[in-house]
Amino acid sequence: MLSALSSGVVVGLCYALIAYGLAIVYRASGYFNMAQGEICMVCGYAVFLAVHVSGSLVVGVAASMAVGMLANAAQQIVIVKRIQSADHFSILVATLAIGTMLTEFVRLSINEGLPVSLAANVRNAALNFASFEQVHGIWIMLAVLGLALLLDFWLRAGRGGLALRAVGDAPQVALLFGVAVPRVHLQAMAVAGLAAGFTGVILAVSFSYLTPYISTTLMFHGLAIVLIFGVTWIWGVLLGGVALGLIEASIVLWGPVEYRELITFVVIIAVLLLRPAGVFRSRI
Amino acid sequence: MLSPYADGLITFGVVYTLMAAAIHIPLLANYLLLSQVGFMLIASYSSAALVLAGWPWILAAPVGVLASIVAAALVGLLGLRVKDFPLAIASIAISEALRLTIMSTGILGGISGLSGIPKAANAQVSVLILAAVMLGLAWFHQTRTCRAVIALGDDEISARAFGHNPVRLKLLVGVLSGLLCGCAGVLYAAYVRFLDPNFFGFSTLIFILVFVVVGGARRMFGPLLGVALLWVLPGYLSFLADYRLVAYSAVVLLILMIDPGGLSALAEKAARKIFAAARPLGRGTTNRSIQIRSQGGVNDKASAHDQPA
Repeated sequence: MLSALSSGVVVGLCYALIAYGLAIVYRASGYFNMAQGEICMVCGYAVFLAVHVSGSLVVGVAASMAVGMLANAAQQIVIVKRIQSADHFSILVATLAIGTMLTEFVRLSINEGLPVSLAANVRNAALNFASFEQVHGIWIMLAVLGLALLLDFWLRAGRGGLALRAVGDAPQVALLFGVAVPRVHLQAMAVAGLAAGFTGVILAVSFSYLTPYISTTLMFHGLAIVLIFGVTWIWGVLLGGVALGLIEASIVLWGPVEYRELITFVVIIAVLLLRPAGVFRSRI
Repeated sequence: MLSPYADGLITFGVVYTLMAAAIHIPLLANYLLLSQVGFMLIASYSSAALVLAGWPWILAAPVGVLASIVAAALVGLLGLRVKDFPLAIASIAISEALRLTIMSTGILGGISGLSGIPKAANAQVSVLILAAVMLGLAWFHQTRTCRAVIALGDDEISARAFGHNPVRLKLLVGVLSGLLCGCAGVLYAAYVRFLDPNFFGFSTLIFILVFVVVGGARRMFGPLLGVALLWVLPGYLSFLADYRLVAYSAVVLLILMIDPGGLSALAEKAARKIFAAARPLGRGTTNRSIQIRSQGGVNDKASAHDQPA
């Protein structure tokens, strides 16, 4: 049971990181980057390929971070910047199109779209590293906690974080005060890419296999967490992710497994109906 | 006599056009309601289940459409509590939940799908339905109600100040969207004869969104143009099969970077420029343009802009 619940926490942290990536871009730019899930999937594949070539998970982790940040930055510079003034629907569809292209690119170029997974010895070593009793992935939990502390400090006290909050609240006023708004948008995307890199590592290590289509369900969970727990407080997002992961683990342990996804969606819809402003009533 | 391939291409083209039109109507009100695939699922499954129970299509089809309308009205009420991106996500979640209900509970064939549905549609029937729908859409675009819906999308507060009821208008667009999804769902079930729940998933929604965006989300003929360009034409380019989604996504991004209004907006602007350039001087000119010309500064651009619309 402990093993299942600790896996649930790790999966929940994965959802939380996706949600955080969505939240940080929303706070800076006012839209949801619907390609965030696909970026995480690409990072997962980056880990797989790096480990396959080098045999080292450390190289895989570095590759995942780099790919996440570069992919998001490229997305911002090449595409999003040109349509940022368009309406919400156009941006929603543009980011969906970017996500679709990434999924198809991976499907067509890596293993013909068939599932891939890390070598068993690497995966088991990663899961069992610093494990205690039946609780696995403690290093993942600590790494995500460390990242959350860092990002929270940056957002509250760092100049970059202050600029991001200013641009998110009133971009015209921030511009008048000399804030380079396009650079802030790029920074937000890079931070989201860093979160995607972390997520890619968790996907590669914790999930039995990766497929190009793994991102759809992850995205919905991430979006649900953002909508329910808000965009202003990283700890709310982490809490939400862990809660969702534990709910799913509980359903697998004690409930009807075939209803796992359905129950998750029903919870999402119910919370949105009952508390449209979110559980913590933070701004969306 | 059409080949089976052409028959399928046209029928599916009509289904996608109806679905794209179903997304286009709420977008007139800036209403991000995206559960159209779920409404289509309800219409398809309810009409198919009735037909398999012994009902004739002539009775089962209206019931399927009605079920879709009722579902759309209920989901439309959600839009009164949730707006913008959260509404888009919640509505997609509802659509997915409907699909997962069938797959998880095993009702109506469950994950294996519903088979043995008697065929009752072909390309000719589809085109007749499409013609009726497009005429209806053209009529709707001329009405005051449509202008009120567009006003609601531009500025809800101002629309309210002018006496428009946002609740009634949002319900109306939801119902119209449900009607179109109902027609698409019934047509689909009557043609394919086998309902696979996986068809009614997120990927189908993305497919339809591509048609809407490329054609023009807020133009009446946008959905038709998008489907004609991206579905019917590539149907004859089978070598693109594996790369179809990549090509579609690239086209969407290109269109959005050039003009978020889509191809119909681009066509409209091009037509305006051509007609403005072709209009002879002295017809429909204003005093200002005469003044500019009399001062020796004949500026075609200025006089073109001064012409009454």
